[in-house]
Amino acid sequence: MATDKGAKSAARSKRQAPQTSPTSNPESLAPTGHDADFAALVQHVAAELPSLEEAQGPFPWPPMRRSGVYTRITTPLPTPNGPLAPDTALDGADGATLEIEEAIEGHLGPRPVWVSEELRVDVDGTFPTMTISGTIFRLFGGWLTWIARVTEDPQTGEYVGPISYRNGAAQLLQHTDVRCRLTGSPWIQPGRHARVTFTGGGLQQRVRVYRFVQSNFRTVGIEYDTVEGTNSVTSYNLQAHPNRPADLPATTLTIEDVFTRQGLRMTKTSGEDVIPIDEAMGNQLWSDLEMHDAMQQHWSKFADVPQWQLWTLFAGRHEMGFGLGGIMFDDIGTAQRQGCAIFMDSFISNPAPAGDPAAAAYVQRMRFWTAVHEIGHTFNLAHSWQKDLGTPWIPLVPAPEERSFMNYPFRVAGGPNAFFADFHYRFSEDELLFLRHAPARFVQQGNAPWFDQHGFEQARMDGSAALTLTVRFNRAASRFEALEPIVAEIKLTNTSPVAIVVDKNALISDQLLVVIEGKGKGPRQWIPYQRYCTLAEPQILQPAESMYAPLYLSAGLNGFDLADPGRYRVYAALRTAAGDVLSAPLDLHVARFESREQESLADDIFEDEVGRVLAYDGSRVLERACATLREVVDRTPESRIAKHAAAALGRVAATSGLVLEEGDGTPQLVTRPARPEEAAPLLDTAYGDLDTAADTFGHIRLTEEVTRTAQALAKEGNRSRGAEMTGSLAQVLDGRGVLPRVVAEVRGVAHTLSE
Amino acid sequence: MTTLAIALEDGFDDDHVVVRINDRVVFDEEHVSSRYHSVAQMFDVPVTADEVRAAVQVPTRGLADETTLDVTRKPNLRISITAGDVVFDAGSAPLYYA
Repeated sequence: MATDKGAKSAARSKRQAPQTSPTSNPESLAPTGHDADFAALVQHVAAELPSLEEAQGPFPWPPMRRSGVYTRITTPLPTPNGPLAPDTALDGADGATLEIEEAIEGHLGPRPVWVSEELRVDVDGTFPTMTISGTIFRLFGGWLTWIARVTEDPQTGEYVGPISYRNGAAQLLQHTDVRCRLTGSPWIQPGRHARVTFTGGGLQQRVRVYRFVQSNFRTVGIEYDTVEGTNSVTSYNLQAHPNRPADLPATTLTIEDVFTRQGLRMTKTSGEDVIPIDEAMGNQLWSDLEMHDAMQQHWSKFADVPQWQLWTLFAGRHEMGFGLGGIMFDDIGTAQRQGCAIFMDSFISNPAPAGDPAAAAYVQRMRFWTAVHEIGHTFNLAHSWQKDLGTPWIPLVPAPEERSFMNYPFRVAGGPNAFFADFHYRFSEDELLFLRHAPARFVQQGNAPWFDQHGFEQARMDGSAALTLTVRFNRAASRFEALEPIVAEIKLTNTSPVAIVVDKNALISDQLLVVIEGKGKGPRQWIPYQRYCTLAEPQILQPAESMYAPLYLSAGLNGFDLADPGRYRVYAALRTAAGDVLSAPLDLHVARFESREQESLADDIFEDEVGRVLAYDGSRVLERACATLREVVDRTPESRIAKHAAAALGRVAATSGLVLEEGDGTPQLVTRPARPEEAAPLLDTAYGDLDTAADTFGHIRLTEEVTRTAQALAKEGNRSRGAEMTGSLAQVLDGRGVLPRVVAEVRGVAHTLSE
Repeated sequence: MTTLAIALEDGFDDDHVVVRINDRVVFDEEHVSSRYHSVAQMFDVPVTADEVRAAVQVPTRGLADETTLDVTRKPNLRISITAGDVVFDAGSAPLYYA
């Protein structure tokens, strides 16, 4: 046997009648000499095309590998009697149901679906966990992930077992047991189906038929970048060191192979930058922040959204020192777990003990283990001895002696020698269960934050995940000056594989709830000065597409909840037709007053009228508030709040506008003329340094304000100033990685104004 | 001169942590949080005496404790908060994390 005997036999013991010969797996080949290359090739092919695996042994027929992902989709069909309800298609006999479903799939295109189901069958192939799981998405009904541990019924060859886990909208599947029959030949994909009968729970049994899609459970992209002067280690010859299990195959495993052979198809994306060491500031040691910056700059796939992509950096040394061999550094902010680093100038490069028969391989092995270990963290895998900490997705027992990539070799009894003597370069069974079957958002990079235990976070995880709500700042640090207005950005992203219908105005409607919680204070609802009351305007949000809105969090109808120095946490929730969506928390820190000047202004600034003028970006009638803001600009021109004050005052001064005035006891509209001489220095204060302005206004608000002001200037005859402002804005937004579509729109305004 | 390696491991959650070695402040940082996938903080302290007194304060929790250790035999010190107490774990095994 060339695989993990213990795990394999344990997995088989759950089946009542194993169907596969122990020699039918390609990893069971025990190659020697010139056969090694052939065996390696076989293994590679097997990993790439898992359905071929079982055919590599001496008895290639019948091929037995049927594990993988199956799906079914239903959508409203235009029929003479109206749309076909989804369950109509669910309950029929196999043949009829399939005909309907396949006909539907052929016409799907980008249209939203009513029900989308994925079935993950994990009963044979490499390291089977004897599990069948599923994810159900129902438009306006939410999500459910369910898991059943199964055994094979020797009489029928079906896989049967109780549903032992549900996460999400439990009403989507209330049966308690599953029975799954796999049909069709593994060699002919169109004919491969899984017929699942759901029973129990006092309900009538329901049969659903799923069509085979792929052998791997997840598909992930990885990009490696290396710091100048450092080597990367992305592969290891399993027989390079003699201290190993006797049955390890003679093959060189890449990092991608490790994951692919365990059901997560991993492919290398473009990139492979060499990063200048200068980016680690002056000391050549890397901090988490520096690595995060490097990730944003060098990773070709970087996006602040959940995605099946990850970035791995090979660097010299972390600022914490020689004792840190690697780290999943991306545990701050909203889209976490996207990046990790391996430090070659650390203990993982310790030379082999004196007399070691393969000293170079000893080091290479440790570096390879470290790389896969850190990548494992990006999938939300915990250390083997810490499985019960944080918020385990299912009850887990720590396994300090486990031979898994997620255990430290130097932490087990007997140290690295004992570990590697019995290590098969794999993850443990419960780790595989997590990787293959846990709700995708727990596993996917950039999705559920690392180990978050917060109650709100738990609710977020339990809710619908078709949409993801994100609150964020457009700046590197979430530390704000005292008095600085705090403007966040809210983003709603379709993280499902199908199009979803949302209300176009959802983010500015009263369906959005925002809570601000100061440390040591209770939570308070943020109630903006204005809400838009509009008819629901359906908009199709395609997979990975987002919609955005700015949030002026500093002030609202509840007052100034972020006025005091200290730490705060902001949450948002949105009610949508597809279910309630909750954001991850966003932390921020308001600094203490730096001068008496600031402190003396505070009482005047934290007035309702001032809050309104800042929130609405100017006023022609709230004169007392405008006077306060003018004082702010005059007394603290370098402060961040002076930029906001100057923007509000400057925009109003730059253009003429109507005001309702009492004239002779009769209200009448009066035009107040523009005051360009007054506007010019104010706009310089506000937008003279657009990069800083982008930090404090946020990208959306800055874009709205600058383009509006530029158009106002043009209306008053100063087109060149308007063109200059918007041209500079486009450049700054482009440099900050703002969506090209937005940059193009701003450039378009600049172009129009310059004509 | 010996080096005492100190790691802040489990149980910290946005805490202010002060570490003193023989009454000298060697670490004073706010917002220290444990990271289950790694170590919260790790740093080296050069010491001249063979025996030193390590004191830890966590003002955010009203915790304080100290221990004495022989750095020639146990040059590595792990500090955690467990069940509301500061826990010291000194040893010779190097402080390695990944």
